Amino acid sequence: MMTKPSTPKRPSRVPGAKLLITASALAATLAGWASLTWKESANVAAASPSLRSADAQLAAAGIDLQPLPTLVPGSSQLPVGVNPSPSQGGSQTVLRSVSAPPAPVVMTQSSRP
Amino acid sequence: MKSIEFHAMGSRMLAAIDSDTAAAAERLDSVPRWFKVWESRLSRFQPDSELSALNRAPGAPFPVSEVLWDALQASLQAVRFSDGLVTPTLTPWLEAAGYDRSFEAIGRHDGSPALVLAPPAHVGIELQLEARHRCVTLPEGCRLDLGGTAKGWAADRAVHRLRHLGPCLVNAGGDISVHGPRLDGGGWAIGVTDPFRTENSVERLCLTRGGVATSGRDYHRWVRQGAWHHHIIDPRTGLPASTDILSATVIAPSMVEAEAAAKVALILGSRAALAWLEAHPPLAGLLVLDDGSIRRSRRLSRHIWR
Repeated sequence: MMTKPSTPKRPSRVPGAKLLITASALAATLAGWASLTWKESANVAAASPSLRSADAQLAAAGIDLQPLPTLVPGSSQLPVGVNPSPSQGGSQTVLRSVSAPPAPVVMTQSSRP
Repeated sequence: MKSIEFHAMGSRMLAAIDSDTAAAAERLDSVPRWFKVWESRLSRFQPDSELSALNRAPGAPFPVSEVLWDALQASLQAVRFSDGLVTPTLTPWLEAAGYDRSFEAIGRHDGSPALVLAPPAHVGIELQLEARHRCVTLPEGCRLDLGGTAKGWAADRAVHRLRHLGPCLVNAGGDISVHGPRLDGGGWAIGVTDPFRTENSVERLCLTRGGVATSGRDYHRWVRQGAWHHHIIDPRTGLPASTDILSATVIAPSMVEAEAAAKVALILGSRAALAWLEAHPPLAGLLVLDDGSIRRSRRLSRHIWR
């Protein structure tokens, strides 16, 4: 009967091999991300000329697009001790214009000189 | 708008036509002359007036002019309208209260002794009028004072003569007659003087026709024997009316009615006056009381300028 001779464990002769493999994998991952990011930038840069061309076409057609309004919230802070008034509530008071009554043509009164 | 101001019947007058035509201006120039003629017929302070002549001839038929006849008819209309509270037959009681000459001549203080007469027996209906010959017979002891009624009649008469030229208004010393809305379609703006501060108004009215009159004891009053007297006589007592109303303003279909109604309101006092005004649908009134408060009849809201 034959017995398989046991192979003794081989002792690790390169202690930094694992570290080298990890560093290499990390470097490859980073390199891949960097490559993808560079390709997106290149695509946007390639599209920009066409957007500028569209703006030029609108301007040539006489269409002047105004910039979108920017809403700036008013200050909601009130000094201490000051009661808020309706005009400070953020909405503007709209005054209705009315015509003043005419001056009287004459006055009625008990008779006098 | 064209207008003219002048003085007549002891008061400031104004006549206005809402028109810019030459005919309107020409017609307005005639208005002071009309009032001068009417005053010469109807004044009790002018000894040579037709009314003074009639007052000197009681007990016999006295033929009168068309002007005096028409003014007397208006005065009797006021008697009926007011159930006798406004009557032209109170001259002796007016004189007893101190109103025996024009108010400018009286001044604020009268040194004459106070007189008290028995309540009047005549309230106008005892006058005998004969239309065919325009004759008037006064009862013995009766003398007439057409007073504010004559002014109201004159204002109505003047408006009647002006109205064919356009919308018009005549102000006879604060008693105002109006015909027609103005050319812009609106009414005439008429202020009601605040009797406490005469430079202010307590209300602004809008009239398109009819009359508005104010009767008050804020101006025509004087001190006699240490007591205030005024010229609104209550025929039930023969004395100046005892009332809580300082001035009463009434709107009516005609100037004569407005003038009579304002006197009635003042004589009755605020409580009864408001009830009386509400019971007479054409009327609307505003009362300023001695304490400064203001009372308005319900129908006045129709005439307030909005």
